[in-house]
Amino acid sequence: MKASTAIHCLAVILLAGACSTSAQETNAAGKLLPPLPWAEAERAAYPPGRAGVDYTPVTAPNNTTLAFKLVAGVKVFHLIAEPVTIQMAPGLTVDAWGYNGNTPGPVIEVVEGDHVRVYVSNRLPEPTTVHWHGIRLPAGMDGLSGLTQKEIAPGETFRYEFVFPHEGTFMYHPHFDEMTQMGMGLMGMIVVHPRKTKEPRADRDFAMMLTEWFIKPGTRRPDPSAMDGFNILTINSRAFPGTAPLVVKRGDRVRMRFGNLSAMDHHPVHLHGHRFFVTETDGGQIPAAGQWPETTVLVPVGSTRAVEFVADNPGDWGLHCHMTHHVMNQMGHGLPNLLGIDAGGLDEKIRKLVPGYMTMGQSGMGGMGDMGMAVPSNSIPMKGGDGPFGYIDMGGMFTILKVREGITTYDDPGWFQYPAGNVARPATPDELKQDAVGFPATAP
Amino acid sequence: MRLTLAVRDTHRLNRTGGPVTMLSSFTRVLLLGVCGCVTQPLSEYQRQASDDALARSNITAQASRIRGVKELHTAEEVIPLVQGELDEAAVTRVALINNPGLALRYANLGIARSALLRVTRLPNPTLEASARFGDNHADAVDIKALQDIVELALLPRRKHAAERELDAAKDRLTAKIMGTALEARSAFGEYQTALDTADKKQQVADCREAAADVARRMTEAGNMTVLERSAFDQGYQAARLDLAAWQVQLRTKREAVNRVMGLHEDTSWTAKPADGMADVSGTPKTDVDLAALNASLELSAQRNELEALAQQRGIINTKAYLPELRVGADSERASDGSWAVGPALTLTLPLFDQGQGQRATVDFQIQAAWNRYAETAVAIASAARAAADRLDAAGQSLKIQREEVLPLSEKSLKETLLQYNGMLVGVFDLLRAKERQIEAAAHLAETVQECRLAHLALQHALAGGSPMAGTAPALPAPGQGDGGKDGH
Repeated sequence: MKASTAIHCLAVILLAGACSTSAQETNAAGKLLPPLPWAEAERAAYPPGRAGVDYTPVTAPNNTTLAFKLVAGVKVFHLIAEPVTIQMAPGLTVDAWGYNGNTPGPVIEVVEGDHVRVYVSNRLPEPTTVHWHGIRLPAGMDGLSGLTQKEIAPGETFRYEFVFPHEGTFMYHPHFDEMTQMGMGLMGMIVVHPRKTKEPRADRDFAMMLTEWFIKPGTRRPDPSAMDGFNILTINSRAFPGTAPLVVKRGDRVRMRFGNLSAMDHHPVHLHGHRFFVTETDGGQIPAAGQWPETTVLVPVGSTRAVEFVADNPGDWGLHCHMTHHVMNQMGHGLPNLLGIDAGGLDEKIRKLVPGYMTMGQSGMGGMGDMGMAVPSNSIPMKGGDGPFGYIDMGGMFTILKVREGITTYDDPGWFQYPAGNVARPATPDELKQDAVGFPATAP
Repeated sequence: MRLTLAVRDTHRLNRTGGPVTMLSSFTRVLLLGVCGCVTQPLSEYQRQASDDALARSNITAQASRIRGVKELHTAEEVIPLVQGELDEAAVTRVALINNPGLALRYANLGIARSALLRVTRLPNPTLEASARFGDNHADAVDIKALQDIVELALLPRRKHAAERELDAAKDRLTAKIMGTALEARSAFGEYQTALDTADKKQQVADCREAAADVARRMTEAGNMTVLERSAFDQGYQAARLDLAAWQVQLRTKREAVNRVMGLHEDTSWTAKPADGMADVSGTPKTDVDLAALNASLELSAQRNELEALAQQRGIINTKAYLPELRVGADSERASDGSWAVGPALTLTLPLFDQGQGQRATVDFQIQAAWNRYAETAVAIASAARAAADRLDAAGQSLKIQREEVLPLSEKSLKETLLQYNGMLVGVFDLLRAKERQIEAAAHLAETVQECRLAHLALQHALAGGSPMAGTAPALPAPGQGDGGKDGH
């Protein structure tokens, strides 16, 4: 090493050390204080991250990503809190509250270190705020009404400005009259991509907000005062069969980000036909060594989780909350349990009093939503959706992962074409005999 | 004290009169005796009362005849009627023919008419004869013929009083016919409604039975506790008890129809189902009390009775000072065989009794009658206002029941069925919704009947009828203070 080179290196080291020392603050007693969470990102003054270059843009089923404009290197967003009308599923249109015409609000997608300015306009009939859930930012930007700011009155627009210091999956929601405003659908996801793309890079990156509603069958407006009995469970505020499918190519590396802003319930989300690794919480990326394989990830209330897997198994695969009542649409509760009763003659007897009556539930409740019976207007009680083999007897927090080979776009490819002989079917007598499987003539 | 004076004057044998006034009275009395005796037949009075009542009541179902007062058994012509299905008109017709109470009023009319007949007859003269036997064939014979001219003079007053009494009886008969028709229509409507209610209670019991059946099946399937099931069983049994209790009500209401129709035994008649309509058109809402007072038959009867009492007082006044005045001729055969003829007069002198007691009695009777009249007028006016208020309230209730409550219950049932289809509510909720719809329909039927009754009561009052017992302030009992009349 030349002397000049050595001196140069020493100078750089000393300079770096001096700079480092100067960034840290001390208190009156001379104790070294930890750096502010966003200090490093601010100091770095990164250029705005670029979609498709610095990150793979997220896909938000039944939702969009919030547009922004660049102003002097700052990403400027505009969120408008307002009443919205959405179709949660065929047959159920809901008057809710959301942002920019939808619930959940559009995904705010940025890159670690991006400097943002977010204008929040209030078109609601009551004040609101926006809390940036999980973001480590200056306290005055945290959005908790009364504690960190005045509420945003109807008709007002507030300005929030900060730097997203860390990558991860986060959420935004009001912190004024939370029960009502979140119960009405005011919420959204925030995706902060890493400044430096990590390999292997995800080919598909889905952002899904999980939540729950109480909407009386026959009404249009959620009841935000409900504390239990939630009867519509949604992914991005849509209930199956209103949920858009998640389309991936065989071999794609898939990331799924879940946020849960349900009022009362956690959601164990299960993926069929694959295993995944839990890679992230809203506390940050889980080190590779700490990631663990699962087929079900529990997403607690007020939390986010991200999972990653390789789509190696072609087919149509269910993705759903595994709480069985969370995959039922507007299920009634506390009903007489008629399962197993002898219903002989009952229809004739009661039809004399109430024409149109039909005994239901005596042999189970499957297919009840597919009977074509008249139900209250704007309601989807027990409704499921059509599938390639018949009626899919699920609803609510259910969607379909479609893994395909040979597709060139991520448009819905339709139902999976199963290889011959690769679908469960009725056993033949010969097969039963061959495998010595007896079947009792009557049920036990 | 009676003073008898006879003057015999052979010179006045051929004189035919006394004082001018006496002649005048005689003339009038004789005319009255001849002409005043002419009264209409009883059946004509009955027919007039019947026609008046039916016209006032706007009843089309007229009786084919008026029941005879001596008929104690069911009239033959109604027997076929009460074997089949009856409607309101038929029940009214049977009641007007066969109601014994109505026949009783006919009898009262006959009594009043008989009284009139009695007082229009000339009082009979008296004849006195005496003989005295003496020696030497000196026998004497005394013959005297007398006529009470006081009674003759009072005869027009007595006739006038009797006519007013007859008018009062006719008024009361008319009112009774109207009341009988009203009672028939009301009782039959009540029975029709009770039948409808019984049908609906049976439907409620069917709902409860179905619920109990479902509960039984659930218990047998192991889905419901015995305790839970018992609540449904109890509900069913309660409905059965309610239905059984209503059968008693039904029986009571049927007997009310039988009574008003005057049937001695329950026949196999059935009731045409109620049409669920209540026509309340054409009923005034203001000044009903004045209209009812003007039309009131009871007040008319009492006015007639007051007039009769006034005549009675005049009679008493006259007789107080001239209790008896008999005039006539006295003839005597003297012992020598000659006859002496002359006028005779018998006079009761009011020395000790000048009729003070009788006058006081009739004065108090008149006062009592006035008081009763005033009391009756207050009751009739009040009843008319109450009937109008009742009709108004019933009409409002009917409008709400028909236009709101029943449609809401039907909509509720329909929506409950939709909710049931979506498995949002259970079969028990559905059956309860059906029960509520049945109850709303039953309530509507009862309200229709209440509206009909209120309308009938008001029309009855405006037509001059007396309020039915239990539907309005009670009228004073007829005849109070009537005792002690100077009879005919």
